[in-house]
Amino acid sequence: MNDARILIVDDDPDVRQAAALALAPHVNGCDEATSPAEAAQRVRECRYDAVLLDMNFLAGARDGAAGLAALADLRGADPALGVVFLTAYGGVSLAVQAMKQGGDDFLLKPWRNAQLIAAVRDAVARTEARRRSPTLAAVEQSTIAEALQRHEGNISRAAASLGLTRQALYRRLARDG
Amino acid sequence: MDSLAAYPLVSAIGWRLVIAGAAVWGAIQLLPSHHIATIALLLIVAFLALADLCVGMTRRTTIQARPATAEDAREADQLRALLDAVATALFVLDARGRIVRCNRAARRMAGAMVSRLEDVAALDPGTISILQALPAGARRLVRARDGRNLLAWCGSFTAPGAAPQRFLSLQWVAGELDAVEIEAWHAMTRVLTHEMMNALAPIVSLTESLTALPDHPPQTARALATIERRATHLLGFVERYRQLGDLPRPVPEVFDLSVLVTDVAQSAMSVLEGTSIRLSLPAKPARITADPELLERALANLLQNAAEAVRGQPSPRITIELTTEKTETILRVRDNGPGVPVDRIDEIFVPFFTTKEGGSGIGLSLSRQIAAAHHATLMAVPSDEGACFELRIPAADGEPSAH
Repeated sequence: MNDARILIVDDDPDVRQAAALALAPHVNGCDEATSPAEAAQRVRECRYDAVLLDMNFLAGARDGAAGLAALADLRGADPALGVVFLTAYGGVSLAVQAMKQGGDDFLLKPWRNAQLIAAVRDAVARTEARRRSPTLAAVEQSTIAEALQRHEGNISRAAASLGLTRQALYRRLARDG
Repeated sequence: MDSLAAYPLVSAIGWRLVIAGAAVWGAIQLLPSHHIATIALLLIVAFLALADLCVGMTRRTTIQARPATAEDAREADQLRALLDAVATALFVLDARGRIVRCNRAARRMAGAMVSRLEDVAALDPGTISILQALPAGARRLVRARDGRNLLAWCGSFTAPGAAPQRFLSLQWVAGELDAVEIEAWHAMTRVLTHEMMNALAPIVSLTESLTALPDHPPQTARALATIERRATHLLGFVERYRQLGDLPRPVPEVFDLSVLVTDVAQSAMSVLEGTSIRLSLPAKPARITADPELLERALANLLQNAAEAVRGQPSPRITIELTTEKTETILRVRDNGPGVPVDRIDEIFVPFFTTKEGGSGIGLSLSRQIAAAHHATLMAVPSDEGACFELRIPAADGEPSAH
């Protein structure tokens, strides 16, 4: 993960400073955002390998709602992005909710640096894996191409081997160009 | 209602006036006949009727208050039954402080038929003098002899024609107070935990990062080590806060408390060699509706507390008494340690208050929190020897609920 770029999202500058310093020897660089809106903007502009995301941004808020909403925004901008939640008030139910909604990890403040580094390392690996794994459309295209090649361009036989009608296969070929 | 009460009064006045009038009229008619004795007799009759009327008028309220019809009597019975059904103790006192009237809860508190407030068994002299000095309309928390809290309210009322009477209501409020206090602690714990964790996060992480950097001069290295040690200590402290704030909701079930007490006592015996643990259990099963796991935690905390209290005593002894009463189940844990100083009784249940080296100050506070979640009370009660903690669990007429 030495070439990874990390985005740290927290309204507390000291927390951002501490996380950046702890991660510095292990990553290519850290950017900081003070709010979910700024974080979403940065993810649209630049490609990150993982995000550290605080769960509460309003004074007195402890329900993690802001963090969960921010997760949806970030994934909207980059569906493969690995996200590690950070919270000072971590009930089990909040952790479960965060993971269910697609968070990659959940860390309690204060963290131990070794924990933080391990969590970010895992998130970077997951981002990479999701980016590498082909989409459904790509799988379909390659399967059709392989079937056509096997049957030497014979549309009828290729369609039969794929369990499709000739018309259905034509439609897919037309759509994919 | 008013006209019904007034009817016998009017009739009583009417009859007396008629008799007095007739007697005077008769006497006037007889004047020319010089029957002195008869005239005197008639005048005496008239005088007596009028005198009776005057006395009757001054005692009007007594006449008025007396139920004159069957309906009134029934209504009075209903009111009496209503007052007896109220769980709050009600005393009506006359000007000299004698108890004129009281309801069933008051009689139960008094312990016997008593005629003066001073004789009420549940109240000590200090509390009684506070209650006697309470002005009308005042509310005040007072402490009963057994250490429980009572909310006292004093009123005053004057029935027409009667001397003013004082009205005293006394209500047990221990459970309610505990619940309010614990809810306040919970709120504070949540806020403090959040703030402390947020503040500690950069301290702990930055210290670790700096320590990992190479080539520190020895002074810097020592300073960093100190910061890390103190931050870690604070972290442990806040972790205990979390523990206190995370008491699970009780999952109530019906079970025999005697069995649980025996189990906990036996596991304590195996750990505490040299300490005698005596059990006193009721003959019949002590069935209660509560969360057995939470109660086991509370009892284990009380036993640990007792075990620490008797450490170093020449013949350390812990007694566990379980008694069942009609309305509640009472569990007492006694020890023959140094006891709880009177001025510390309130403090020992405060979270993080501890008199022990290395104590967390969580045990008793957590136990009281468990009690409150079951509408039960946990108190340190006065004891001849050592300390005595008393857990009173009310009989299950309702669901034990979460705080």
